Amino acid sequence: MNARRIVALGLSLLLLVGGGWWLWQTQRRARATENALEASYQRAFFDLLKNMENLDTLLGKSLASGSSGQRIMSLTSVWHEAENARANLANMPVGMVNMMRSQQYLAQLGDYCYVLAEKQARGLELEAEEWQQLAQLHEQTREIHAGLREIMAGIGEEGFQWRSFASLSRNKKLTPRAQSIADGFSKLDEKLRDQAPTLTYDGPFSDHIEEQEPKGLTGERISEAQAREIALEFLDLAGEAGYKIGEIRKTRGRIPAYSLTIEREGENRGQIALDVSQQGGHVVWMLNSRLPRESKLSLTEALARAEDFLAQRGLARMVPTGTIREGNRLSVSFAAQEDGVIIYPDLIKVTVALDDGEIIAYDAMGFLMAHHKRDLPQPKLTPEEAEKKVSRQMEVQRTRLAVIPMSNLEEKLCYEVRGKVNGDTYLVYINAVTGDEEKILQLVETEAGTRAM
Amino acid sequence: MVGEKGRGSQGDQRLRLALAAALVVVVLAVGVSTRLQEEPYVGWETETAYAPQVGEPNYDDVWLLARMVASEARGEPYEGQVAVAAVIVNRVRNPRFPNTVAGVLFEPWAFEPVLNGTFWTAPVTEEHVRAAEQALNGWDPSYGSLFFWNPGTATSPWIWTRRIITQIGEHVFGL
Repeated sequence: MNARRIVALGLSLLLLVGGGWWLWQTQRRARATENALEASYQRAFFDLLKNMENLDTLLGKSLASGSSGQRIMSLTSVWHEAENARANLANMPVGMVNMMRSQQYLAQLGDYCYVLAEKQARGLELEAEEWQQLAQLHEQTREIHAGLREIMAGIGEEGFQWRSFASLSRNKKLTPRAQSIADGFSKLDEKLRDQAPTLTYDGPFSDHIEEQEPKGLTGERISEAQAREIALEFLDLAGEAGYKIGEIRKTRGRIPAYSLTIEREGENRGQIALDVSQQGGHVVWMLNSRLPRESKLSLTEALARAEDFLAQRGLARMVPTGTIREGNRLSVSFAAQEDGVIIYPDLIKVTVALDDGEIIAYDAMGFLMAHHKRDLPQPKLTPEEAEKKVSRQMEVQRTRLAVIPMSNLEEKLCYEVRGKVNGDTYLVYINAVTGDEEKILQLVETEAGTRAM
Repeated sequence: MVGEKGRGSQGDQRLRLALAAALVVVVLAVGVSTRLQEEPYVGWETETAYAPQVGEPNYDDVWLLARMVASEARGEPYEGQVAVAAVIVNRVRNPRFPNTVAGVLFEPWAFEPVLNGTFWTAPVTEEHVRAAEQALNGWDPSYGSLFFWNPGTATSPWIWTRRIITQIGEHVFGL
């Protein structure tokens, strides 16, 4: 054996040891990551279990309590606990089991109890139907709780790991233990699909929200050729040359429409896409892919361009209600106005390119969903009376009448009182008929514009 | 002597070869393990003329949504990019899904780019940022869709049970 052989042998040994050590390190790191992931899944599950237990008790207490003060407290806690349950359920790797109905159930449960609490906080009593609904929700929640307890029994047994659900994304089979747990979850969800009540109430998750139909679609059905004409007219391209229209497709959403794409010749002219409603031929939205590279227009000039654009298209009665500047673009929100009343639900948005004032985006979805002839009630309060209803800390700047959409899509006629508290600007909405404070928005002023939070 | 020398240089060669191989292995191992340790994410593209300001109230949502657009709808028509971002916004408002942008995006097994990591590595351009902002400002070419899928590569048969609303570029949008 010569020296070189010894060196070669030593080197291969070193490599072997080094390689082995590296593999072991990698393995260890991978295991640590997997364990951390497993722990976060377990935490989500056990927290969910605790949430359900608390919901079960809180709903029971709400039904048993004789004092409305107590009941308001437990109903608000239901909302809080249900939201936590929802977050924990969403953090579990059971996505493939499709837990959407359970998610919806928890969201509605919290939302519904919140609305009931609010009602009582206004001094109103619960109606017989609401008591019944609450009892039914309690029953349902108790069943989910029991179902999860059963699942827990399986989790405690040997050989189950939440992360084994991961393999499903690669179309592998689950272990029998994991399969039975997956089945447990799907059974819970199916049960809710069959048994959970349809809930219609005054909250944002009420079942009626998703079944909303457009109110602003006036006019006859139009043909594809008509849609083409309307689109060209809208883009000021009628009678012009130098553009190409792509294949026209149909969409089947809440507002069935013809989808058009238009390409223009020349530099810095993005592709335009727009939808024209099949009924009435209204432009629903328009998007131009162009990215303006500089800002030459002032914000006042840009706002004027947006107003002109709407006026030329027969929408002169719209008033600007807010602007947001994003880079070299200005987006302006417009609301309809009727007899001096701002109608916020009838919303149209326009984006102006600040390099040449071209309108590069338009959205009338809100307007088409909400616009209709309204019979506005006669205000019972004067503006001065409304101003007396806001917080005494507020320094009032302006008051005007406005129709606002509530989270349940109901519309209310309010006085919009704009004022400052500790340097921050707020909009407070006082119901013009009942005098109730319906909503508060904070206006966050940034360099980009004003956002309502 | 000549023979000895000849064998010697042969041995030298082997030694050099072995050393070179060892070096390559070590460099590879170090490379792979550091890559495993810190998979870097790419920032906003430097050529981007415009990026939202950190102080903006919805900067966080724009940041996340632009990333989703970059990793899921890169190369799609602009309205398709807005539609992908709009689906996330629609989910946030829907009772069947979590109520934050991060909650929706990082729901386990919800989105392919989050699973395969391209969510963090796809370069974000100004167009993606604009699409994200437009969706957050209410534009929705998907008409309230809660799902999108690629008809060519979708593996789940369940997805085809959804009601199709529209198709834009490579994506089908549905409820």
